[in-house]
Amino acid sequence: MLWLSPGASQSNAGGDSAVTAGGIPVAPLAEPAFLAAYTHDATVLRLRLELERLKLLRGFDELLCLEGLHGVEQLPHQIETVRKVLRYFHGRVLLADEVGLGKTIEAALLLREYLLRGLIRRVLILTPAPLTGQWRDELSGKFGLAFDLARPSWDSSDWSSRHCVIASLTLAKSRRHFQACSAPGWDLVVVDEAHHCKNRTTRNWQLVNALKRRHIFLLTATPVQNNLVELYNLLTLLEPGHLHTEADFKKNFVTRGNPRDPRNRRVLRELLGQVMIRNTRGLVNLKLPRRYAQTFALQPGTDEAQLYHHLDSYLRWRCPPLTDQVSSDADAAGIPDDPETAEAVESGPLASLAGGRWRTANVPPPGLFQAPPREDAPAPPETPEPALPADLPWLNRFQLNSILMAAGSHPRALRPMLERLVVRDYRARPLLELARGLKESVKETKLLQLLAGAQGEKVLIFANFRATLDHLAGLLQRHGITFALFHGSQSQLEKEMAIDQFKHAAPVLLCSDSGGEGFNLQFCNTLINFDLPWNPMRIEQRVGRIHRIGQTREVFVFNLCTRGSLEEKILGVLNDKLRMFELVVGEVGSILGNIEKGEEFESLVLSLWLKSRRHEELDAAFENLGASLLEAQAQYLRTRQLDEALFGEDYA
Amino acid sequence: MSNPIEQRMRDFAVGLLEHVGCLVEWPEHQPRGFAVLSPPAAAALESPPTTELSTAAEQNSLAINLGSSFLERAEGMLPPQTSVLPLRIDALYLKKSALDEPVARAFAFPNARVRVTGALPQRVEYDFWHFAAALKSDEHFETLLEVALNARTGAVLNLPDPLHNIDAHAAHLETAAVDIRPAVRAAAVKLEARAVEFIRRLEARLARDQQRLRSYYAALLDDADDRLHRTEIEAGQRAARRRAVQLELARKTEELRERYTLRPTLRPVALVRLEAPALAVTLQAHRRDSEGMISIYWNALSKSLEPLACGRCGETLYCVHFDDNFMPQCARCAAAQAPR
Repeated sequence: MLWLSPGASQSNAGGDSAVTAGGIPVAPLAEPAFLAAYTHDATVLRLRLELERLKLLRGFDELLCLEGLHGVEQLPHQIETVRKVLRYFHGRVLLADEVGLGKTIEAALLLREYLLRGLIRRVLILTPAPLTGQWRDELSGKFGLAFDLARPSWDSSDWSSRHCVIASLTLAKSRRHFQACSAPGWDLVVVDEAHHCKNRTTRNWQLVNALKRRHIFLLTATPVQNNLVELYNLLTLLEPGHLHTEADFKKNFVTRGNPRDPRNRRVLRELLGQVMIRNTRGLVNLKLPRRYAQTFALQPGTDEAQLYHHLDSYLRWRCPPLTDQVSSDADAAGIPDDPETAEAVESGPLASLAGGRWRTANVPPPGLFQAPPREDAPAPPETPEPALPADLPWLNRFQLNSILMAAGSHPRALRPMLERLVVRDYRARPLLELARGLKESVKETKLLQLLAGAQGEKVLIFANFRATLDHLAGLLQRHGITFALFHGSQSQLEKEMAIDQFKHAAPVLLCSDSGGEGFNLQFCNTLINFDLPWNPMRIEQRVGRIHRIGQTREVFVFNLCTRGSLEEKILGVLNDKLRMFELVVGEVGSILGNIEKGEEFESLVLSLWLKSRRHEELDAAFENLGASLLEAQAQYLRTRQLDEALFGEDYA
Repeated sequence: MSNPIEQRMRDFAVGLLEHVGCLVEWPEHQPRGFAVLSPPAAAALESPPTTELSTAAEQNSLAINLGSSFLERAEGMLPPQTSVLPLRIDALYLKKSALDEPVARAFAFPNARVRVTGALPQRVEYDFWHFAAALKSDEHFETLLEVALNARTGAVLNLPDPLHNIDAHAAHLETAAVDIRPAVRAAAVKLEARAVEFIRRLEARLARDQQRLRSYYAALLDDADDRLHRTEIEAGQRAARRRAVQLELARKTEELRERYTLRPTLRPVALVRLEAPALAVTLQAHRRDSEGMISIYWNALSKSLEPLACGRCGETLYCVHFDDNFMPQCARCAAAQAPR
């Protein structure tokens, strides 16, 4: 026993005091004073004990936030950070962990802890536009916290009546929303990628400064991007006056002539340590093996190519005109991006808009079901497209997105969607017939080849759609390949059994995107993306199932896509340009976060597709997207270097 | 009010205020209530005599939440000493069948021959302690520990909470003096078990910090070596500088150990002393040429035989060694006592 008998457990060199197995000295336990106050009323005891329990809750010794999480791997440094913030930082902190160490998880745990304890009610999360969906999905799926995504159509009553809101910085700071967002009081404001608030003269900084809040978490891996005054500006948002005035700060802590070089480092470090936590890979001992990726852009067979070509033409015919102005703002265009509102559109503003256009009788648009053009063929002359018939609504963004992604997955995934289209429009029937007639996709052949070459290694296969997964299950069965199946609609027991089967018996796990989170799959080091989510963060999550703490071997990722598909273009940008699969876990998020303006990535991809009527236009659009990402990456790398030099490992 | 903690805070506030003579109207699951405070309560809470109660921090109301100062002030409304509540259970079923076989199954007596000679109903006192335990180090660990033991034998038992036993009632007991030491020993064991994760985390941090210090000073030494090589300094001076860096490392390491040193504390918060019927089983023990009588208890609450406690270290025993005076001992204490 450590506390009572010095030397009873394990002695240090002197042999006169106890130490724990890990070498921490232990002072002996003094016998407590015992003064009795006799009572005959059990209520007194109950009240006294409840008081002690409630005091413990307030002391944050028992974290409530850890119960009831789904698929959150709690790393020790994250728990340590949560405790520190709760205990010492009183809800005002700059979380400046290096990328990939889970700042978002730390913030979400803190947020959950505060909410569960009833210490906060109204929460606002500000984040770059590309990351809003990611935040909402993670908070809801993993932490059980439902947040509303702020919409451009919101008015001041929406801002004040909703308690938990995620808003893009771009939206919140806009002229229309600045006042409405900052007028009501918030108990907690979380600012993700807070380096966007580094400059006091920007609306970003002014917005966060104007927000009435009790607690605030600033999240950034790169608190200093160009000079130390940026750090001063961030900390002023956090604790005004903590570093005195800007002039004082410059005088005391910035080397004259070099705004990046701090002086009086020790004092500055102490001051920063009171408001900032920075975990680094070195400190938390997080070293992951390298990962490698290979993409197979496969030439589809004639029928498959025809299906994609005709589907593309058909969908373009069914989609509304899109201008630059509205492309990034679905609401402004009246185009809903969720299925619930899709029906409403049919009798809403789009319907009346459609009614004013020229209509044809029930004749398919010209060229719709002709053979696809050869790649080297000259571009056909522009012919005016016939308008939609009056009784046929436009497809909304959500529908377009789903159909295009299903097409990128497998004809089997496309079939049910085409069946639904045919119910409203018989012109889509040839597409359905084509999809039904396809016996095998070119990706299947490649998949079988890859599995044959796996040489006994465990292989994790991801697919977006349940229909694709079921089809692949049949394919593997026919070829005598043992596999386990894992998807979101299974019970917990079924999931555990699937993982167990994969670990001990089956060489292959067929897995949906929702699958695998929270399970240890590090015994596997090969992953095949049979299809591809359009959101890079979701691709990262897939890879993260096996490329995580505990993985000791190099990780191999194989991406399958058909040539000419949107997925090929996305991979071209993410893999060829950004080298996404070679980045450190989490860096993709930081890079996307640097694209402050704009849409979520998958919405962006759809907008590019909508805007580009021809292949050349689409290629050029993706080329531009790649250039923007490269610029964002370069900016991220510059700032990372500076921050590493500035902070080292001093703030854990 | 959907939050369970808010509900607990509300229940606690209502219970406490009513206990000290205040009038409280606060329906369950409502965020607000109202209270007419007694003068001492109003003074303790630094509140006007009539006040609104609210789980949120609102103007003109007494905030009842974890973030407010309510809990500190509430502490002043309860006695500061350890609250001791004597309880009694009048009657419980006591085992009637022979106990030879159960004793033989439950206990081992490696250095004596033991047989059951009889069993008599007795009233036995049990102590149920509640300790506020803390480990202070670079971080703090705090918890509440419960320890139940037989006040006569000091054996630690696993018994149901007497505050939830409907047959127990308050009583004036002719109690023997309370001995806190066996409870402290048992609480210390529990604290160690409960703090395992906390200690592991601290150990990892200490190792990390030590490694960082070592790396830093190793780099400092290399750097110093480089510079000293370039300047013409005597070997003795060079060695002295190396020693200075090493001493500095030792000092910093010692500071680190000091910072991480675990300082345990236990504070007795409450004690329930329960008098309940039990069956005292008399055992006759033969060891070498001597003979002794000892008692063990069949506990009517747990419906099982209670263990004994080591007379030296307090450890709970089912494998009982005896010394020459038939004091029960654990194997380790017995071995320590044995002549070499």
